Amino acid sequence: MTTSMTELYHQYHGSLVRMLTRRTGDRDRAEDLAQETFARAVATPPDNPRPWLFAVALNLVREDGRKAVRQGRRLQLLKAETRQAAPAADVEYERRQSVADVRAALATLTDRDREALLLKAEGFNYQEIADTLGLAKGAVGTTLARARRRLVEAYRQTEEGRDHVAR
Amino acid sequence: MSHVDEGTLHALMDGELTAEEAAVVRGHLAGCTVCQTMFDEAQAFLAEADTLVESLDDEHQAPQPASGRVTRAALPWWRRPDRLAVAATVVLAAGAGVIGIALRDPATPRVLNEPIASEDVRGRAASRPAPGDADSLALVGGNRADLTDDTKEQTVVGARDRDAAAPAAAPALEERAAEPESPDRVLQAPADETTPTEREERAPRPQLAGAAGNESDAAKRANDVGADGAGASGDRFADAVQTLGGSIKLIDGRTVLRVEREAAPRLEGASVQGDLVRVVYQDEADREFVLEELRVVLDGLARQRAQADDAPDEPRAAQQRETSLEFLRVAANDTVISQETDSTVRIRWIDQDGFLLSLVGHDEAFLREMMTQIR
Repeated sequence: MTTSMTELYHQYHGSLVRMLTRRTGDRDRAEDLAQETFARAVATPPDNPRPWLFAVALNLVREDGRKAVRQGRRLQLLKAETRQAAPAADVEYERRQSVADVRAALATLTDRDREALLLKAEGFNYQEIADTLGLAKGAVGTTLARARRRLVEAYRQTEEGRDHVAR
Repeated sequence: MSHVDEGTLHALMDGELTAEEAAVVRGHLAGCTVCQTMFDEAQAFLAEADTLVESLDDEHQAPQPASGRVTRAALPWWRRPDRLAVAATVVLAAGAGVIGIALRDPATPRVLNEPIASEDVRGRAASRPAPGDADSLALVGGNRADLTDDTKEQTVVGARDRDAAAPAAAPALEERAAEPESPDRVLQAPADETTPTEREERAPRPQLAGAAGNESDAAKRANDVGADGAGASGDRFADAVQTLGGSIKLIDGRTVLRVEREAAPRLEGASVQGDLVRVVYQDEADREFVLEELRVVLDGLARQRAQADDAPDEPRAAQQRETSLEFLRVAANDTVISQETDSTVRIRWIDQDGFLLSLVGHDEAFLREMMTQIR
């Protein structure tokens, strides 16, 4: 079990953090959630690890949203390493604006559509997405089709709205 | 064939159709402009959606401020230490590698000392395992304060308050209780020519015997074992030094009220060779503050080492250490500061030697000063 857990960690930790970061928009929170996910995997080693890990992680995202409100305590992490200088303000602003638009578009999707999309982006096949989200495999194509279309359309609307205001 | 639904088109693009299914759909697309148009559109959606999702990563690639970055996290890992420690231990246990005294810099020895109530604690190198043994000693995070919220209020000021409450004092610690040491005597761990594994085998670990269970079990065990705090002695201090692999970190010029040992949380895949060691000090305001250290040794280490390939131990140990630190999300020299519910502050860090150290007290600025001194 120990070896397999190490392998799981090396194999999926990066992907899990990336997915959770995309899902939550908060890298620190994503890393905490991934950490908790692996801690749970140690306690209850999963048979089908990848869907299990991502399903637990996505459940934690939902739980965490509620728990964070109750939780008064805070953690400060003072990173030891030095950081690079920040980029130019205008470039930084545009980049952040664009990401904010994508995030807003993503927020218009249902949880299921959003999560299916994020899992697919992590290389999940339809069976794994179905296992993770509790869907029938036959429904995954339709779910992804809807998710992709809605995301793109919502993003385009946001962009068009900004262009209109700019003129 | 009727028109192809959108889900099937996406399944085709995602390579989820069998060869036969794909051939049928492609054949239909070739002769149906409606479906071909929908397919072209679906391809555009797919490509753009993928690009948009990937663009989310840009949000987190921005460089951080030059220094002193403070981030806040919603799920503090120290609140679930036994689970995390288990996880980290398992990660560690998978390889022969380890964190340990081996990684300690000989030039900055972890230091010694003093029995109870000495005003003059001075650093002095304590005996340590021979270099050949060092890489078989491991550290993983997690200590009593990490157990659960239920135990947290008992964690800060040591064993004194538990004396009356805990009925089952640890037999081994009672046996080791002896006459108090002279206050000005500086202790070092006795020289030990045995390997860490041998020491582990002979070391009494009554607190962990038959250990199995959940968070509450671990919490109870910690309380029980810590119940003999009043019987602190030089022997006991020497035991504490021994439990940390031959040396213990103390703070110069500070009054040591007592040294305590407590059972560490249960760890799967590892044996807790040493208990959690807590050195309780007094600050300028006569309030207590605590420095904690914890170290564990992996199960099956000898077997793993025997099975190890010809690769040198050092890179593997370094790799395992890196993994564990990554897992805990705390890199060497990072500092984690947590506000506890009982108005105390906990400052925790993993030092360059791979040991997890924790300072607990009421004044963060003062604790930071102590941390700087220790480092």
